[in-house]
Amino acid sequence: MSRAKRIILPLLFGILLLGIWYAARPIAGFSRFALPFPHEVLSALSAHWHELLPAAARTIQTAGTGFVAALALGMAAALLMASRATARATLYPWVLVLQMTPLVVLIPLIVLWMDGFWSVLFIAFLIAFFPITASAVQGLLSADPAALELFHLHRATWWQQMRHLRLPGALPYILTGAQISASLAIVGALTGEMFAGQVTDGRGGLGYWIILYRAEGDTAAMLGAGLTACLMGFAFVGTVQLLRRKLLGRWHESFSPRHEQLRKMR
Amino acid sequence: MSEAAGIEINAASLRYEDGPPVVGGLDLKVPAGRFHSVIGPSGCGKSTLLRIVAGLLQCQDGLVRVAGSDPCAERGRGTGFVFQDHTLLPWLNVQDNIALPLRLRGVPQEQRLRRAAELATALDLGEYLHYYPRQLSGGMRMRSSLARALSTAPGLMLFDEPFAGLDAIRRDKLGEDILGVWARQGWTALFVTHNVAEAVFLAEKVHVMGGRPACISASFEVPFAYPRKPSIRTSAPFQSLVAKISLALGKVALP
Repeated sequence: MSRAKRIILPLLFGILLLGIWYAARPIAGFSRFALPFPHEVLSALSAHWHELLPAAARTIQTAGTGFVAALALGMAAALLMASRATARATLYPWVLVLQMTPLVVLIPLIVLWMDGFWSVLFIAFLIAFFPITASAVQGLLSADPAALELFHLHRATWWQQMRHLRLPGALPYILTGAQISASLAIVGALTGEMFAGQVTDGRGGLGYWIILYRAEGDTAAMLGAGLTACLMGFAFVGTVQLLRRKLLGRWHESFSPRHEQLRKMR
Repeated sequence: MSEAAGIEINAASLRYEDGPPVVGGLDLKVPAGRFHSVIGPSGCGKSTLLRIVAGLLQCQDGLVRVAGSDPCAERGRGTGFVFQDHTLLPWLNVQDNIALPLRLRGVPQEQRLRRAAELATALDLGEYLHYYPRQLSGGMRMRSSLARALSTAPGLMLFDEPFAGLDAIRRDKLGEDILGVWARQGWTALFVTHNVAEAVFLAEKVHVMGGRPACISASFEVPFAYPRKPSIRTSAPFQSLVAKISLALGKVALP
């Protein structure tokens, strides 16, 4: 598909969605409070940017730190579980339990246990931990058995096996997990902020402002804050995507020119 | 280069965990510097035999010696292994793939890359050093895999049906190239295949393997002198030997 088409098609669809948005309010008989028009959201955004910009910076900081912590601890846990069957048997069920627990139940408690910033950071970490860990374990265990034999034949050490075989082979899995974790870290931070309220210096992140605007009945500003969070998510996931292209572009099948040809044939 | 390493196996048997023996009472002798092939039906234990010789599997009974030592204790010391699949690491280019065993042994980068480049040139891969496996044809991948096995200058080369995924023209050409390298370097070779003509063309002796548990049921001397011309494949003595071995192969019990 041409570059122009790849830009124009989603833009056209966006315009269609905007049209539906404009049409929905009069058709459903909603008030401005229930559904502000897109231009009202934009003007609220410009009126509140001096609050939203620093709030977004705080949310990025907590979500980013939570994500990096999830990545570091998730990789460490995955390396341990991929190397020792006992560690896998002991820990993996608990990683699953963490995934199955609706974190919303825990958030009010976490907010009670820790100070504002730390509670938000912990929630972002907790929610981002599972996808990266689960996909890294899967990736590390998926090494080609014949390649493993080659490493055994040459008496490779544990670290050589990880460094030269399991980790590079797991990279596509890890990056897919990281992409999901990155967007979840933002969701986690926002939700944490909604519960934690003001976190640092008496000021909150985007989640805090969403709650505040809601209490004030300023739906347009609330949606403006949501839009800011959405842009942040794009930046996060976009960074991971760039990393994916940089790390896998030269060798991974998903970047093979043959894939592009096959897509065209269909 | 390591000195050519002979293989000696006496009454070896191996079972996986509590299962029945896969290999039982197996005898095989390959003198140092000789080229032998092993032929047998799929799943008969040929790959297991290679892994025993490589020291990747340990027999429960019998004696296995490579260059006079237990291969499990000396694993990887002087053995090159060419797998059925090319098993190149997709994230490394041809040069780094060839140099991988040297990297695992801690050979300095400059030295190992130079060695990889020399091997690549010798195997007609000189122009593809910086290509990734996905950019290569099946034949070139197998050549890279062969170069990787040769990188440590082994005294023994083990081949596990390396041509299984290639077309007939590439198989023949690669076989001739392997013989060329063998003639220059003089390692011992054990070549597993299920193609009788290939086994006869390459080897000085062809062993037929089969049965449950698997053992060597017959061995045939191949009387053709090296270097062998591709044209001998169509000669009457070659064809008659292929027929004789095929007959012996037909008599072994299928797994």
